[in-house]
Amino acid sequence: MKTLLLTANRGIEFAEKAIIIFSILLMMVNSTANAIGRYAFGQSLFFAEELNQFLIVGVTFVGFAYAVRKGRNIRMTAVYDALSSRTKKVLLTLISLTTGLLLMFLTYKSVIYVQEVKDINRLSPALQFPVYIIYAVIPVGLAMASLQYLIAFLMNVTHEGTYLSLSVQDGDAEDIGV
Amino acid sequence: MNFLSDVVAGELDIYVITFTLVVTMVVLLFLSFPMVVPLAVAALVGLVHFSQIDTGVIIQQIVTGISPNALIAVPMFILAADIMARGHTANNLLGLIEAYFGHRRGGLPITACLSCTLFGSVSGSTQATVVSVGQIMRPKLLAAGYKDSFVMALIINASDIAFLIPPSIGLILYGTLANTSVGELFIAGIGPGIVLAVLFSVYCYVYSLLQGDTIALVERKTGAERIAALKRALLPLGFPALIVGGIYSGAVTPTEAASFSVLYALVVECLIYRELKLNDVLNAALSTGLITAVVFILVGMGQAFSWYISFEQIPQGLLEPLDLEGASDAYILAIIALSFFVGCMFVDSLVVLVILTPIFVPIVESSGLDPVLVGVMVTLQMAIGSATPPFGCDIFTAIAIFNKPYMEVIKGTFPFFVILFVMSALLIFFPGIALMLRDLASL
Amino acid sequence: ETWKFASEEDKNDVQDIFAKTFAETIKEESDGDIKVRIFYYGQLGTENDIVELTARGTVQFVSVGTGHLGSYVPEVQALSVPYVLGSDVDAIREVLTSSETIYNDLSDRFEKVNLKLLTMISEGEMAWGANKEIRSPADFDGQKIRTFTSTIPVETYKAFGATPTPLSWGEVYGALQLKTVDGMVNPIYFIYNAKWHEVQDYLMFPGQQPYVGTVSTNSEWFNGLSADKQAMVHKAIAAAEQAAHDYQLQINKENMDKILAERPDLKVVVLTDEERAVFRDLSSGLHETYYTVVENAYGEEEKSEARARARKILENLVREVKDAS
Ligand code: NA
Ligand code: NA
Repeated sequence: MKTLLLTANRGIEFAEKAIIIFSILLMMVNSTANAIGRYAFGQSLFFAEELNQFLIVGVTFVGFAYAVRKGRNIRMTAVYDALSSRTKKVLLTLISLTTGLLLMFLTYKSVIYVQEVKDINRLSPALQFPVYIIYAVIPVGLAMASLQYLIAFLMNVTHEGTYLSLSVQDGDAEDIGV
Repeated sequence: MNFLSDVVAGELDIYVITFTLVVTMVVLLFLSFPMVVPLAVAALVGLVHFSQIDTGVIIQQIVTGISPNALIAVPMFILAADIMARGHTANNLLGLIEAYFGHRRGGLPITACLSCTLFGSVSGSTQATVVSVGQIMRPKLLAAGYKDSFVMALIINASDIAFLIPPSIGLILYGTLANTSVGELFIAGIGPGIVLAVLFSVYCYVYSLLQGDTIALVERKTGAERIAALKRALLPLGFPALIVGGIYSGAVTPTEAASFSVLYALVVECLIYRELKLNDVLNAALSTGLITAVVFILVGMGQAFSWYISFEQIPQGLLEPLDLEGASDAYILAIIALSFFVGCMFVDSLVVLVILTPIFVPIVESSGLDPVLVGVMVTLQMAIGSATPPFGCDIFTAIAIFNKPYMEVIKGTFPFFVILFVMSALLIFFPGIALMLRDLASL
Repeated sequence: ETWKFASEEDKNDVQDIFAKTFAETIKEESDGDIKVRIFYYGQLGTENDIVELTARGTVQFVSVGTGHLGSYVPEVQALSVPYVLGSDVDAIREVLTSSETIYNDLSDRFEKVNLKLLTMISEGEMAWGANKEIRSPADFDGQKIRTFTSTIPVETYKAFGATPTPLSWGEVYGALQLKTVDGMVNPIYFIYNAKWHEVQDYLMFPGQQPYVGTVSTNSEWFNGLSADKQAMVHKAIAAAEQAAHDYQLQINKENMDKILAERPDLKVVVLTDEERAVFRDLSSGLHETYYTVVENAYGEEEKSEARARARKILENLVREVKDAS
């Protein structure tokens, strides 16, 4: 069971990384192709902006989940740093639980939002593409982030140490890599 | 639940709302919740408790907040800078700067300051500037003995000069909202932009004098060494040349220039220097995505929060009792500056611009104030706002890119804040700083 | 009670005058019981946002450019097809306020997204801006024209021989100044307000189409109002339409005068009937484009029905404009 969960976790992390890298690189290709087309061939990619907006939505929500996983979310720790390690642990346990629940609530709201956008059949103006398909990444990203915080809560309750996510402890957030 | 009676009566007390939301945000912030939480909870408290509005709007507004096309420049410049910092480009550029300015007092930080001004002005993106110049210059400054708090504060504040020098999205948006000539605003922004760059440079010089014994100066380089450094920097210099030339010649928009700088960095590092492997590029893209995400999720949540403020027309309500009709010009200008300053503390600068400008336009029109001067003042406050805590995109970017805690990033900002404050006062009492160039141009 | 009215435009633009008159009339008619709170450009988000907020009932009234509604009501893009509405001010107004096609066939489609179409207003003829005189498709050759990012406008300027270049409006001023793009299309009053006349040398009047604003309300909410209040809304809409119409004529003229005063060297070109006929002929091919755009918005089993409906809407609209002229 435990190995299964860990494998699933690694799989999700791999998917997150792949989506982020793909989106960022496609954004670059898309923008340069548009400029080259316009400047050299007198042809604009009329969908370039729209595609970039789709990609940025993907990067933001998937990247958010990935950042939580890596303990890289922005916090202001002026007061926190001055606390005793015991208080720190209590506070961080509380924070991981409430943040996880808050994000779960937002996940729920975003599922409803995506459903609404689907129901009114909103199409993007340039590509005439159903917007809800892109927006589906919103609940996915939020759910993954929520899960990370809830796992961190469990880790804080069951283990020694102060956990920001499943594998990252407070103060350990480090640079990332493929 | 005594607020509930107000709600039933249909009249919300905006002071109660403002107080509750500010306290909620500040408390959660200091409890060290992830920054997205204070913003989300404040928005939720407003929507659910005070106004009983469907909270789905939060999701919609996060997406709106991250949708402006100009934001694409941010990840692209981050990626370009990351690739260059991993390869030879950054080092060679720094070698050049060191060869010419490394032996002078304050030479390095002044170069960093001016690079931020130039790069920010051209790219139009303060966050992109924090990343590009910051990523490249910071290691050198640290190696020379400058304190990290000083270096990070310098970078985030010098980047904000970008707002004042054209092309500037802030000035364009203000021009349209306030029906003021964008051309004149562009010219009027240059003076204060230059004065600020000079004031920051003076501070850099003074700082390095005061810290004299901890900062190592390199030995003065010989002519031959300098030429060698210049040669090594030729290819890397193509990067700023490409961006400046590309944008000012009209070949590309600032957003596209950002993507081209990635392409250029890839060509130089992967094909010419052959320094970077595919894996390095993927790592750079991943790190770019992560930094973009942690900043943009806050930009989006900030938009959701300010949507609520705007929906309940709280700024209008708070400003009403100030009675600006018929007040003196300096007073009106000071109030405008203060309002934008306070607004920018809590939400993104451009959002503040959209919310506050329509409120002030009629007041400015009925006063004797020059709308161009007001535009420059407002833009200056927006610039300050990107670097003032608690909500500042440049702060977030610095935290993300340098992987440093919040407090450490903002520790050294106070002297810069004083300079910016002085600059605001100068603008009120010597409007010529902004208007002189404009008046010369229209002769 | 307080009703909320969101507009895509700034203070003192045409849609704002509409909103203000609407608010004043409602206040009068309700003896001050009902207040209408107005929101301007960007205050509640993008054009898409305010449409969705209205469909959801957070906001009660919304006015946006008709093009923006295409994402929700694809049929409405009939009004974006060039040389359908033309430039006869009175005929346009008659059609936009009382067309059978708009208030029966199109209005039905609005109901599908929980919106009730209240009225449409012209905000003035769309002029072409450029740095050269443009009188024929040949003149458009190689010209990069900034358009709204949507199929009909993009295909329109392709058909006319230009290179349509979508750009978000924040980038337009700089792009025109630096000649990244050569021209744009907008009504005069807006060109002046956005200051784009500062960076264009020619303004052309092709008699092609007006910028059309559409005002709608939340359908469910409106149907739940008492008959009195519904009548009040209709009365206020009529008054607001009149005010917006008068203002549109005035502000477009005033701003044209201001443009000429600020840019005495800027040339205004009114295309002759023969020159317009060339572009009008090119536009007929876009009718098929419109049918296809509408068809594509529907699932497999509805496509042919949707296409037929789109054809009926466009053809009837063309006939109505002709009758009104
Ligand atoms: Na700039
Ligand atoms: Na701030």
